[in-house]
Order: sequence, then structure tokens, then C-alpha cells
Amino acid sequence: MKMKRQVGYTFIALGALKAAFLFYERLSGHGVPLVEDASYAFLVLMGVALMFTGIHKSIAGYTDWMYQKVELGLIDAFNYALVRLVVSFTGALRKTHTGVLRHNLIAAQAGGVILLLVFLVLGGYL
Amino acid sequence: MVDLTLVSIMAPALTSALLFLFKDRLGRYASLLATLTSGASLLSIAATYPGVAEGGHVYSSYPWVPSLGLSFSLYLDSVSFLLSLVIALVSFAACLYSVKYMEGKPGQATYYSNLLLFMCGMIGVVYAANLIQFYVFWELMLIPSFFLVAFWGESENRRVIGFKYFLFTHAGAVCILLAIAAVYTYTGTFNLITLTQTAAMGSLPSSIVPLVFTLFLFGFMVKIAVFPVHTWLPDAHGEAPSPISAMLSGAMLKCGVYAIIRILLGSFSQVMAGASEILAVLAVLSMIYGGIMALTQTDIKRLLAYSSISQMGYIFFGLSTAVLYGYGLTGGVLHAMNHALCKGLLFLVAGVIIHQTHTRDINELGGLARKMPLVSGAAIVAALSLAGTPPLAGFWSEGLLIKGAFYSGQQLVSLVASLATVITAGYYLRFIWKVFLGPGKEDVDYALGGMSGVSAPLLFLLTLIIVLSLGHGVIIGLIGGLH
Repeated sequence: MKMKRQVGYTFIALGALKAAFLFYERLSGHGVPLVEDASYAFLVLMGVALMFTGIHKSIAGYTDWMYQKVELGLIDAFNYALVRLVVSFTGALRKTHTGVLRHNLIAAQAGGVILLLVFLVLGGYL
Repeated sequence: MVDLTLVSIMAPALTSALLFLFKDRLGRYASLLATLTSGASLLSIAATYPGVAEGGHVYSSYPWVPSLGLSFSLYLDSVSFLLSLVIALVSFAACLYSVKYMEGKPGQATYYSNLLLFMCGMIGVVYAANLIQFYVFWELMLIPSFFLVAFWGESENRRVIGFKYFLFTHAGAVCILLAIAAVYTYTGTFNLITLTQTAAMGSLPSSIVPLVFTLFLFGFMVKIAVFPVHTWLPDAHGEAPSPISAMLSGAMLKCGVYAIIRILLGSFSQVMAGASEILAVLAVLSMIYGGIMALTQTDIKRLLAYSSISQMGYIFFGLSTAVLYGYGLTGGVLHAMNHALCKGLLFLVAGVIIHQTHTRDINELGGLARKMPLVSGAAIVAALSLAGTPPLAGFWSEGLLIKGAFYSGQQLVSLVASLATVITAGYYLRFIWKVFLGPGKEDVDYALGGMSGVSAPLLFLLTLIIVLSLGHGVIIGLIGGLH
């Protein structure tokens, strides 16, 4: 609880400092959008809320849920599935490399025939 | 007359080759040679300032593939100067830090060879004046950084994480290559200066302009880790050695920022204007999502990595509105520079903390401010700058970003973005309080001792952060010349 209160106090101080600088900018004529003043006032209020109502704890719980379910469970799981797919495909492809020269030559000849057929079709000859 | 832009690229490239070829003979001189080379590259870049001051630019060209009409061309204006400068600054600091960090570890010459090649790739991207050269250096960034993550990474999963990083970034690069091919097919040129400063892009049929734009955008979004193509970043930045994490987060991400400015803002400004709202919403999603993820992290490096996702969201937010109102570009570049220096310093500090305390869990840390005052002081200044605390540079850059969006007509999005700064302040304050304040562990040797050599790069970056904060007006003036 003590750390949360200290974070809350620092939050308020940070928000107040930011707001003070923004108001100074407004007074000195540099011009600051009104929405920024309101949002930094909100920043100060957020600090108060964090300190007194324990919202930090509920936010922490929510962020934990988002990290576990959305980030790791959904997005990262999808990405690692893609990685595993690529690794398994390349592994299967590697098995065709028997190292026997005769097999390589047969594959090259078959590939050449396929290419020739493709060009003949694309060129309108077939 | 020596071409300093060429020197800044070729010096790390040649030294990288030397280090690799003579890796068995160099021994401890590898670190010295690498540090001197990165310093020389940095000084070369800094010395080009007179050429770009007051809106000037520097252009040099060398024959490359005459049969294709390709030349090796280097273009330097204020944006490429500023971004190449921070890339070189962070790379130099990382190299200097590595002298102590890598002491006694195997494969040092190869490590430094990869580091310098990585640096060469990043600077080459920022100086490239044609799309082929841009792509070559874009891929040149990826390959040594893959080796640095996959072979010098810190856990048993480093190969898988390195491969995931390679796969993601290369997928983005393939999209960029397809877009480059389309651009050349219809415009007949790879020259970036021609494409950005003339109406050459008008040769693209209107039906394929959105497709080409989307291919470029996807490739750059992957590089800067915008939500939802961001998951490679926490893994790669968390896994890499700390100085490499500093370069990945502090320097490499800025190459994606540069690419958006040079190619998308330069050649597709009308499409950017039309897509500004959607891109701003995507950017704000990235800001908030990265911040929420950073709030929940207990691993110090993953916290900083998710923070990078959020901070890149800020920069992307500024660039999305830059076409409509110039503050977005100014704020974006200033924020990029601030993020490079601050995040670079934070990752180096994380390396010191992990080395001294043997833990990455921030719940097991605390009280470091009393035991390691220099390290803690530097980290707190950097964290507060990124949290937007006045009078540090982050305050000014965030203000410009939000102002730019507000004045470009996106008041609601700018309000949400300014609320996102609350989340940023929240996780950085949590980081500061948990790691540096409160009671500490008694059985830990907090004296830097074996890591005493790292004070220099930390002080170096801290000084730069303060100089940037005090001199942000000069930077704003330099970028403002582009509007």
C-alpha cells in the first residue's frame, strides 16, 4: 500500500508539473489546445484515483488478463504457429535433398519440362 | 574533398570485414578497433552539419550498375542528418558499453563485426538516394542483427526468437521489394529524389497506388512494430545482449521512421492525407496497447521493449498527421531522437542491473538509487523524459505530436492520445519506484566493480539527453526548414 501511495503522489506531482508548464505556455502566448489542459487535469485526477481508490490494482488485473489472453494467447500464439509452419515446411523440403546426384538431375529435368509447359501456355502456344 | 557521408558508411563496413577475416588474431584489440571505427563514423556524420544547416542538403553519386542506370547515391538533408546522428550516437555508446559487457565472452571479433555491419546498414538506409540501395541496406540491417540475437542471445530460446525476428522483418521487406518493383515498372526510375521532388509518382495508375502504398506501409509498420505486427519486438529486444537491445530499440526502429518520412510522406502525401484518420487511430491503438502491456511486465527488458512499441506509436501518430499539419513531423522526429537516446540508455542500464543483481524481475529489485546512484540517476532522467516530464525533451515532443493532430482536425484522436500519456507515465513511474526506490536486497554487490567501465557510455547518453532537452529549439528549427 505504501508504494502505491508513493506512486500516486508522484503521479500527482508529475501531472501538476506538466499542467503548470502547459499553463505557462498558454500565458506566454505559445498557444496550447484546450483539450491538452483538460487531459492534463485528468492526469492529476488519475493520480488521485490511483492513490485512494485502488484502481491501480484492478487495472493491474485487467492488464494481466490482456497480456495472457490477447498478447500471448492470441497474437503471439498465431505468430509462433506461423513460425512452426515455416520450420516444418522447410524441414519437409529438406528431406527431398537425398544428396544423390542422379535424383538432382532427374528433378532438374522435370523442373525444366514444367517451366517449358508454363511458358508455352502463357505464350498462347498451347 | 572527402565525402564524409561515404566515410560514415564505409568505415564500419570495411572494419567489419577486417574483424571477421582476422578474428583469430585480433584478440582484445577487436573491441578497441570497433569502438574507434564507430566513433570515426559518428564524427563524420557530425561534420556534415554545415551542409544541412539552414535547409541545405548534400548529394553525392558514384557509378554502381551503369547498364541499369543505377548509381550509388547518398542524400543528406536535415531529417536524414538528425536520424543518422542519433543512430551513430546510440551505436557508438553500445560499442563502448560492449567493451566491458563482452569482456571474457567468446567470439568477440565476430560480435563486433556484426555490430559494425548492423551500424553500416542503418546509416546506409538513412542516406540511400535510390530505392534499390535503400532495400540493400534495409536487408543489411536485418542479417547481422539476426546473428546478434540468435547467437549472442541470453536464453536457450535465442535461435527460435532470432528466427521469428528474421521471419517477421523479412516478410515486411518482401512487401517493400514488391512495392519497389511496381514503382519502377510505372515510373522507370529508382531515384528517391526524383520520386519525392517531382510528379514522377503520378505515372502510377490510380488503381494500384493504394496497393503500392499499403505494401510500403506494411513493410515499415513491421519494422517500427506497430500493433498488431509488433510481437517480434518484445522477444528480440528481450533476448538480445543489452547493447544490441539498445541498438535495436534506440537506432533500428528509427530507420522505419525515416522510411515513412522519406517514401510515404515524400511520394504518397495525398494518400497519407486521405488515410490520416485511419493511421492515427492505428497509432493510438499502438500507444495504448504497448502501454498496457508494459504496465503488466515484470521482466525489465520486456517492459522496456513494450514501452518501445508504445513510443513508436507516438511517433507514428505524429507522422500520420504530418501531411495535414507540420507539427506532426517536427514532433515525430524530435520524439524519435529523444526515444533513441533515452531507450538506448535504459537498455544499457538494464544490462548493468541484470549483471549486478542476477535477476530480470523488477519485483526482486529495489533501492538501487542508494547503491548505484550514477546508474539510477541516469535511468530516472531517461525514464522521466520518455514519460513526458518537463523540461525534458519528451515533454516538448509529445506536446508537438498532440498539437499537430489537434490542429489537423483530429481533436477526438488527439484527446485519446493525450490520455495515453497517462498510461506512459504510469508504467515508467512503476518502473522507477520498483527498481530504484524502496528497500533493496542486502546480499547483492551493488558496486559496479567488474562493470565500472560502463559509466562512460551511460554518462555520454545522459549528457546527450540533457543537451537535447535544452537545445530542442535548434532541432525544431532544423526540421521546420522542411515544411
